[in-house]
Amino acid sequence: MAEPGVESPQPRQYRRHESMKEYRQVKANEKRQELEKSAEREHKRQAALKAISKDKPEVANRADLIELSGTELKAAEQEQGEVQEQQREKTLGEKAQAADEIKGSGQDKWKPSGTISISGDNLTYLPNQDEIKKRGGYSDEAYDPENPGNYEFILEYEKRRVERGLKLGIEVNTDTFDPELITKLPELKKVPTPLLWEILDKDPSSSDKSYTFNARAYSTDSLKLKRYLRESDQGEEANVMFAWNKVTVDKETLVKMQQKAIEYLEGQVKQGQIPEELLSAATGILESRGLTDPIVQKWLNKEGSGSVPEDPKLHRGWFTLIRRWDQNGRIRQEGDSLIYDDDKLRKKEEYREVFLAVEDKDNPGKKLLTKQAWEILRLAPKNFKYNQVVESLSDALSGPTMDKKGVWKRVIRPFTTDEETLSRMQQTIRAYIEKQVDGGHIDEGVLKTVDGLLRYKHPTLKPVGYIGQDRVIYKIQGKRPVKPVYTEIKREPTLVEKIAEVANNSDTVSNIDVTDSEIRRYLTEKRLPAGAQIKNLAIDFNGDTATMTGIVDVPIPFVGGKIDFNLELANNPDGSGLLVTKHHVETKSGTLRSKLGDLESSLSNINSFISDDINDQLRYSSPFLRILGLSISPEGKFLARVQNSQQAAA
Amino acid sequence: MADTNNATLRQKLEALIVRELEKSLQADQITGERAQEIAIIVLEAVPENITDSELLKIIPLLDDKASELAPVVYKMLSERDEQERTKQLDHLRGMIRGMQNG
Repeated sequence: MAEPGVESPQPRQYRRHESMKEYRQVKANEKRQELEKSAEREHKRQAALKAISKDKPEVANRADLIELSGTELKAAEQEQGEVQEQQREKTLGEKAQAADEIKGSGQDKWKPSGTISISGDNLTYLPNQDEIKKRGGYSDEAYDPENPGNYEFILEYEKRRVERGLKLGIEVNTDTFDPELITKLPELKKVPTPLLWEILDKDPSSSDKSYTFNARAYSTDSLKLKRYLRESDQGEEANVMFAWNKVTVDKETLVKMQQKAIEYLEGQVKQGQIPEELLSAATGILESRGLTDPIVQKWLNKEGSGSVPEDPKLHRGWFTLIRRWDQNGRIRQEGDSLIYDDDKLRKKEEYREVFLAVEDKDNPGKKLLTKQAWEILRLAPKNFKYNQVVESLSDALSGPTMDKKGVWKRVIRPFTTDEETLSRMQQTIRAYIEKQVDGGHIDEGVLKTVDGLLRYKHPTLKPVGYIGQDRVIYKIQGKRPVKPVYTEIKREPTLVEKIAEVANNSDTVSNIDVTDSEIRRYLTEKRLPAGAQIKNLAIDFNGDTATMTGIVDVPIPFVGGKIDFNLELANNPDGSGLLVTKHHVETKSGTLRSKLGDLESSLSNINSFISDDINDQLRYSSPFLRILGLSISPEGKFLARVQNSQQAAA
Repeated sequence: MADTNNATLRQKLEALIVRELEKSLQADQITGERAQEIAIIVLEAVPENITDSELLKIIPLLDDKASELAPVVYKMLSERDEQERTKQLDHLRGMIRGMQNG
């Protein structure tokens, strides 16, 4: 006990504070403010000097005074802004990037004995220092940063004791976010990271013993150490940060993290950084946890007599395939349920049902959303596609069926879905909730929560790229991705395809009807020597004779031109095919006129001109088919006489 | 002619003030904000169309409003005194010569 009149020793300055950490923070803040003030003064001084020498540095006159009195302030303010930007608190990722060394580590374990708090946009964890001291190694007293010692050993100890943080929110600006998001949701000044939602989404009441977050944690402050250099035997100061790739927590810590995450969002709402709906969505996720699952409850309680379809027995198979509800199915709302069916189910007169709400026993006339409804609502469709497509999303009930013993039963069927269908389900549920709110059956707060999820959580959870720790490019979920549609192009089969198709299953020799349009198309598409092409082809039948007129276009510059032709066609009496009874060719081009003889010989032998060409093509597609010749039927149609050597061999 | 003189006197004053402010700023003796305040004081006190006699009355008052301008005021006034003294002496000498010659 201290003697009267004798002053007790002056307590250390930091003892006025609750902890050494708080003392350090206060001191750091004071120092920072002092530095800020000094920097501000210096910048205004520089701005004043700049204003004085703005027009002509060597001249001092009234213009300098005018400049100094007027524009100087703006410049100073502008520069002050730049200084503040430079002096703003760096994020953990930025600090780490600026560090001399990052000591990477695998998995970090956060325990309930540590302290979890919010620091800026980070969720921080400070391990219990006493616990670490008890485990041995270096202690505060033993550690002397001035003396380079066993560097790695010190680091190993420091890694265990330093405070570390995870990022909960990212400031929205054009550097960090997709500009589309900024335009569409201007009320978002900050956006919760996917990690924040992941923290909220984890259910501490689940059967899991621990929960792992695939997020990078960084130490909140850099550690200044002297590195031991073997060559010079002198210490070199290093700025070291620690990083962990994953964080694993137990149930108790998870609950604390969730509380802090909500606390962080509350703070952001107060500061006007995020809208209230977003906080509402976050709390809604946690509140939806305690809800009962009407399906499971009924099943566990073995409710249902099975005597009528309305009161069936519930059955859950030990091994049930997870059905995927896809875009081909129908989603609709009936009563308090969401109904799904598709072609397969409809054929069996089946459907799937998810209960969206149950009566609130404590508040007559009111309804509570079911666990299933929340399970569907809380998932971001975009993420769902990648992460949980094979996992069961929720449980649905099959339609009532009667078994062999005459008992009505319904089977619990887990289901999963795709991003598009999930989005449709969410919109259907949202519309249902809106109706229920209008009818006074569901509280308006629930709709607010759902809107928060659909408007703020899901659209911001599509990271399209990470550039460093604090630069996340998100793409807003706007237009749904359009799947490529493959449409079969409907076209008439070519003459060769038609002949092959018909003759394949025909007799040894068959006559195939060939329309004049098919012949016309065939001839006009046929490439002739020198790029020539038949155009304006017309075929007129007169009984078993025909007249074919047209132009042969030879597109050769200077020497090319057009050749008009007219062919009178009839059947060769020997049955070999078409015969040109009369022909006429004419051209104005002198060069072409000298070649008319070649054309005339080809045209006058049109039967083999066409047949040989088709046979050439058939050789590749149907080598056993061979066209023997073309003829004209008495009805005024072309006939192709085709031989099928495969049939002949058979 | 009087206008030119006034302008020259005013310009000289302004140039001296600017140089003084620059020197003080460079030596970190005054802040940027104070320099701005002084500039405003000077511009208000010394309008562009001020007459010589008015300016001479104003100069001694400037360092009352901004003590940082004392060196400028002292320099301006002492130069003025020196000029006046030289003028008076020249006048006196002229009178003496006139009396001796007479």
